[in-house]
Amino acid sequence: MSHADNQFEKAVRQTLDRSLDDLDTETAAEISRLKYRAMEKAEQNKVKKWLWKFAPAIIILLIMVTFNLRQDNYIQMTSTDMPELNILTSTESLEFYAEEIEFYLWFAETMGTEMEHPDYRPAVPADTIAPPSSCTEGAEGRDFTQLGTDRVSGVLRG
Amino acid sequence: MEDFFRSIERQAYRMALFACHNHDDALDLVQDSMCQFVSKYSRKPQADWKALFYKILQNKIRDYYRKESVRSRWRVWFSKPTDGETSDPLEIQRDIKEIDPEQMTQHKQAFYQLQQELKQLSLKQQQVFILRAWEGLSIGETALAMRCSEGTVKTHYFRATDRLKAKLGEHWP
Repeated sequence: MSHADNQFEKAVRQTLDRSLDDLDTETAAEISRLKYRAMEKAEQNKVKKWLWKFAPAIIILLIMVTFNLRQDNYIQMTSTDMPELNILTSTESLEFYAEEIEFYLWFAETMGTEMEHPDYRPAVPADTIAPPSSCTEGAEGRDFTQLGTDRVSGVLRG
Repeated sequence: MEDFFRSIERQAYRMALFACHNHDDALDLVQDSMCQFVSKYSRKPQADWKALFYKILQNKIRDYYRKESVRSRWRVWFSKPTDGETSDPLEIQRDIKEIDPEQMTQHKQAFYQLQQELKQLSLKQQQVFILRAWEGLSIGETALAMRCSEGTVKTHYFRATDRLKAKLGEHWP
């Protein structure tokens, strides 16, 4: 490179350097703010990039958690809410259960405790066994009636 | 990183402004370049930062030119003919003010002349000249930044220098 070229290059450099000092204050301030904005933006992009990297894992985790929760709910429902489920899925109208539910609860409870009673006899159709001859009269007949009364009152007393 | 940006931000702005002739676009180009530089090249050796930053800036300028050429095609199709009038009267006013030599100091005038001549160069010649003469990048670094061969850099630089010297004259600045 000749001396003239060097001189010319030097003059160009000086002129361009001076032009930077001539920038108005508003532009200079704007330029100096650029780097902070750029670094901030780059930081945000980095966070977004990480999120995108982990997005598949997060989605799989969410799906697994959702399915597990559903399974837990199902188990809970079968164990504790079965009577309610039976009522809801039965063919009887809900009014039937609303009116007679207390009776059926009492009946179920009575039947449960009766089966545990030492004198429990399974029910049989009325016409298959003949009532004992002493059923209507005499001491044995009175005992049989008394036994039935005691059983019911014992259940009611709890 | 902050110090590096502080050392090159004004030059980068001036370089972008030479290329796109618009203050806001020049600021956007510099900011986008800085942003990309931080996210992609901040872990590279510090000695390479300058060339890499200007490489990004040159890519941004190239993209800007591509977009502008598409936009200008649309503008030609959809805009009304203006019979050679400049669309913005303020632009004319600004030029008249800038040309007035009595209002300028000597270095402002020199810069103005240089700016006008730089605008006349092709984009590649202009950018190669600025990177080599002002930023002091080597031929290799300039080739990296411009994404071209070292031979092309030498040719562009020689032609740019020759043309500027011829246009500005011996008595410049």
